[in-house]
This record gives sequence, structure tokens and C-alpha cells, in this order.
Amino acid sequence: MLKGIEVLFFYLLSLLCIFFSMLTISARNAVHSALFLISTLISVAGLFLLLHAEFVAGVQILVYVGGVLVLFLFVIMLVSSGQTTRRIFTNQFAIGVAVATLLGLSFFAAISQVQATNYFRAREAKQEVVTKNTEKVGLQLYTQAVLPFEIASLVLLVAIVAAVRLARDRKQEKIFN
Amino acid sequence: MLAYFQAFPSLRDTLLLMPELQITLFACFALVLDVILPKEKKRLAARVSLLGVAFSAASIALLVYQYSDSLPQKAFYDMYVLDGFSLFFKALFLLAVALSIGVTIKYLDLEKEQTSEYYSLMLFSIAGMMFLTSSHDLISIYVSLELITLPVYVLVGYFKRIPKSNEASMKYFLLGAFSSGILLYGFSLLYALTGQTNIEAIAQIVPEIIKTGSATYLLLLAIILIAAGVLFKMAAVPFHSWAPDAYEGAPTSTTAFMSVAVKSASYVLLARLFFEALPSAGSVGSVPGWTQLLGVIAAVTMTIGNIAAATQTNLKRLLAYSSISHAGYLLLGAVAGNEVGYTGIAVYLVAYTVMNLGTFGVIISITRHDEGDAASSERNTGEHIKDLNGLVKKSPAIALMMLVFLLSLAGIPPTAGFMGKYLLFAGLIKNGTDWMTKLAVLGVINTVISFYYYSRLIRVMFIADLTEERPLTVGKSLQTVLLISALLTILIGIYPQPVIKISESAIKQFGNISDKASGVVPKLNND
Repeated sequence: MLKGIEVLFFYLLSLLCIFFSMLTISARNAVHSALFLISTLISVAGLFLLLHAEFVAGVQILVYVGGVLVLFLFVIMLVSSGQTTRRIFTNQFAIGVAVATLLGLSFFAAISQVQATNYFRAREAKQEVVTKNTEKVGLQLYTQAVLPFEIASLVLLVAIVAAVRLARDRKQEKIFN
Repeated sequence: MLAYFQAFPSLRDTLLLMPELQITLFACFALVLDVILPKEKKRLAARVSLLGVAFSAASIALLVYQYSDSLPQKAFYDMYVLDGFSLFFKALFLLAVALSIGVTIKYLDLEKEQTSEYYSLMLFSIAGMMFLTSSHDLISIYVSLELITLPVYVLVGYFKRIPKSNEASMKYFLLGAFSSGILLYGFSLLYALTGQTNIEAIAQIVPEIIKTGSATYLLLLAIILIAAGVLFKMAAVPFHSWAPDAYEGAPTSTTAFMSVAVKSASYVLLARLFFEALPSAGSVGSVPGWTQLLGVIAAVTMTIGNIAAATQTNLKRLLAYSSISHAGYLLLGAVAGNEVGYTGIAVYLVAYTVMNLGTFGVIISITRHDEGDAASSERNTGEHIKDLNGLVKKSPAIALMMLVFLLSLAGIPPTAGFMGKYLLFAGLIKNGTDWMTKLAVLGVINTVISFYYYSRLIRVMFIADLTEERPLTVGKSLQTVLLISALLTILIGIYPQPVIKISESAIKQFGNISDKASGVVPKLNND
């Protein structure tokens, strides 16, 4: 459970996260959108730190901010096609708002029920405090999670094959055939 | 040999993985062959892939022989489970991919793009499906799901020169990635509620939550999000909009593969998550409202799929809508939530695999391309209903087989499709609730609607005059696939007991066994 100054940080980071993710989806310029996404991910990394998940926070910044998003920016700059059309999805806007409102209300109902019955507090009391997070992640990865870990490596292999297949042009294909 | 492996627990674990490992190895092998083989020899890769399927099937047989009395076998810290259910679906996926490869050989020849990558990606996807059947943990379920869909995105957009194929791939990819995200969000809520990722552990905690009523709304929300992800994968209304475009734009062989294998995989997902981890729809301890919601989705999916299919003129689009309606029929089994319904799902998936692959096989056999016309979007591809005109005059055998497949899809008696539908409806009626009986009636009405558009195809095949004079060129591989599919379709229709028995043993692990499906099916032989 969060105490003292941690509560303040939690609300600050959460609000920042929500604020930046809204900017991410509403930004008209793809580069701006990607930059806002970086801010969102950094706020999420801060939230992980509050949960004492230092390793995940570090990975979040290294992989997402350092790797994925930089690649995003490269791709956007390489294939940038100028101004995008305004409001392509106009007729779906109303449906989107309706679904979002419905989802928001149901989350509100769900969370207020959990708060009223103290479900998570009761569960939290039973669990031991987790320390040495990084060590635990490493152990899990090579014991419990070894099978999904290996399947994930297959997914990566398929992703490489897929990228090569989709990206090479006809001239390059002729060399191979 | 086997005893030697069993001495070491980790080797025993690997032994259980054998079917998947072999498929993966042969997928890598086919990938390498693409670089080695000269262009005119590329069909060898298809044979190699079939060999891989055969090896994998043999190791499944070996596993059945070895462990049939001591199922379920768990491995890899309970991440992986080998039970009757997973063995059944692994065998079904191998059947589906073997038939798909047969169809693909001919189709890639037609498109003059015989490449080994296609077979390799197909095998990778099947490996993902086989991992999925045995996944007993939310993490491995999700990762296997990614391994299934990622190759299929590429297979849909395999012909880069065809704009329609690219568009289909893009749509499928974007919506697929989005739906995976929703599914994952549901998983995260479920993990937050239970603190577990293991299916069995979740199954123990969830009834407690329902009993104490402390977090039922959040549980229902998790269920709905997971269901949205699963329903997207099986193309049920309202998450069906990707299916017609993806099915129409994709290469026909990919459409065939997607419509049977990927669809069956989504039902494996449904079974693992909703029959095993979460309280199943029909059970007493179910979350209030969930059964009714599923029932409404099934009803709407059947009806919309059938009505939309009735107005189509493109064969692939018609079959896409028909596959949406079949998703609705299959959901009826989940709504019923008893043994008969579950058996119905398994039997129907077997029937659907053979009859749908057969139908796509016939479509490929009438497919032809005019020279130099390949790049234009309006190609003479034989995908239009009128391309079936007078098929019986050109090839009576193929017309006859198409008749069998279409009758089976419509659910007319001596075919496999009838048996499956019969069990699905029987499950609902057995459950006895008033609205479920009405739902079964709606299912029967839908069957009648579907017969309207299937009979339209039959009419043009047998009555209309020939419009396309060039003779059919059916390769040996396609002939074999058609023959096997047609024989299985009729065989399961006439003598369904073996399939029903195997299906029963596959689903018996899912909860309260009350009604045996074999009791519902009238015995045709006296013993």
C-alpha cells in the first residue's frame, strides 16, 4: 500500500499518464504523437518505480523509450507523407464516445464495488511483501516462464520472416528465385 | 527408449512437446529450402511440410499410446498440459494443415508464385495452435495466440502486387492487434483479481469471488473484455466486420486455412478460458447475465451472417458471411454449457474443417487467370457465383463433391454438418431452459435461410449453361484433398459414432458431466 508522499507521486504520475495519452491520440502530427507517447511511457515507468518494480521500470525506459519509440520516429520521418486529412473517422465519433462512456461507467461501478467490499485490501494482507524483484524476474523467466519465453522467440523469428517477405521488392525477389 | 526419457523429468517434458517441436523444425526447414531450391523445384517444400505434418501426427499417436491411461500430463511447471482435449485438437489442426497444404500447392502454381515461405509460415501458425491447445497459463496462451496470428497476417497479404490482398492484410492486422490488446487487458484484470496466471488456480479462485460477491462487477468486466478478444478471433457479431474483407482479399488458399484452422483455434481459446478457467456459461455458479449475453451474441451472429450471405455474389465473400453464421452455431454449444453442447462444438469443428476446405478446394479448381491480367484489380479469378455455371457438364465428379460440401454446410442429413448441428441444437434443448429452446428454434430457422443461398450455388452448378469454355485443370494434390474431404464429410454423416466418442473423451474434463452426447444420437447400427 502506498503511504505519505508516494500517494502524491501516484496521483501526479497517473494524471500525467492520462494527459499525455490523450494528447497522443489527439495529436494531428505523427511526430508529436510519438513524442507524447514517450512521455506517457516514462510516466508509466514512474508508476512501476512506485510499486518497487525497478527492473520493469528500467526495461520500460530502455526498450520502449530508447528502442521502439526511436524506431517509430525514424519510420515516421522516412515515410512522412505530409499533412493528414482532418477527421477521417467522423461518423464513428459518436459510437466511440458512447462505447468509451459505457466502458468508463462500468469501470467506475466495478471499482466502487471493489472499494466497498475491500477486496484487494483483504487479499493484500494475506500476501508477503515482495523484495528482490529483479532476481525474481530472472528466476521466473528461466523456470516457470521458460516455455512462453521460447514461444516468444519463435514469434520473433516469424516477425523477421514476415518483415523480409513484406518489405523486399520485386527486383530483390528475382535475385532469390 | 521411452522409459529412458522418463527417467529425466526435463526430457519427459520435452517428449510431451514432440508434436510441436517437429512442426517447428520442419517450418524452419521449409524456410531454408526457399533459398536452396531452384524456382521450378519449389514444390518440394510442400512435400517436406507434409512430411513434417506426418511426423507430428506419428508422435501424437505415440503420445496417445503412451499416456492414454494417465492423462492429464503436466509439464514445464504446469504451463503445458497434455490432455484429451489438447490431443484431439492437435490432431484436428494437423488434418486442417495437411488439407490446406494440398490446396495451396495448386493455388500457388496458379498464381505462379510457388514459394516455400508460404508453407513455412503456415506451419509456424499451426505450431502456435498446437501450443495453444496445451497452454495452461494466461501467459503461454497469449504468446501462442501471437504465434498463430502473426504468420496469418502475412499470408493474407502474401501477394503484394494485388492491392486487395494488401488492404485485407492491413485491416486484419490492425483489428487483430487491437483485439489482442483488449484480450490482454482482460487477462490483466483477471490476474489482478486472482493473483494467478495458471488456468487451474484461476478456476479455483473465481467461484469464491462469485460466492462472496465481493468483486463480481470487475470479474464480469474482465470476462467481457476477454470475450471481446475471443469473439473477434472467431468473427462473431459485433466483431465480425474484418472477416468479409479479409476473406475476400486474401489468397484463396489462405482464406481456406484461416476459415478452418484459425477459427478452430479461437474455439480452443474459448474452451480453455471459458469452460475451464472461468465458470462456464451454463453452469450454476456462472456470473449473472453472462449466459444470456452469450446467447444473444450467438443468435445475432447466426442471423446477420446468414442474411448478409444471402445477398452476396462473390463466392469468397459469401463463404465469409457463411463462416460468420457458423461461428454463431458453434457458440450455441457454449451457451448450452453441457456435455452435449461441448461435444457438438468438437464434432462440428471436425465437420466444418473438412467441408469448408473442400468447398475452397472446388473454388480453387475453377480459378483461372487471364494472361497478363494479374495486376489489375478486376481479375477473372473464378470467384464469382456465375463461374460455377454448368460445372456439372465440365466435371461431374467435382460438381458432385461440391454438392456434398454445400449440403453439409447447410446441414442436410446424411452429411457431417448435419451431425454437428444436431448435437449443438440437442445441447440447447437438453439444457431445458425456455429461452434456450427458443434459441434452438432460431438456429433451425437460420439453417433454412442458409439453405437458400447454398441451393443457389447448387442450382447454377447443375442447371445453368456453361459460360466458361476452358476445361478445368485439377492437379493431383487438389484432387486428393477434394476426395478426402468429400469422403470424410459423408463418412462422419453416416457413421458419426467414432468421432462423437473421441470428442466426448476430449471434452469430458470440462466440468459437470450429466448428459452423454452418444445418448442423444440415434444409434444406426444395433450393437
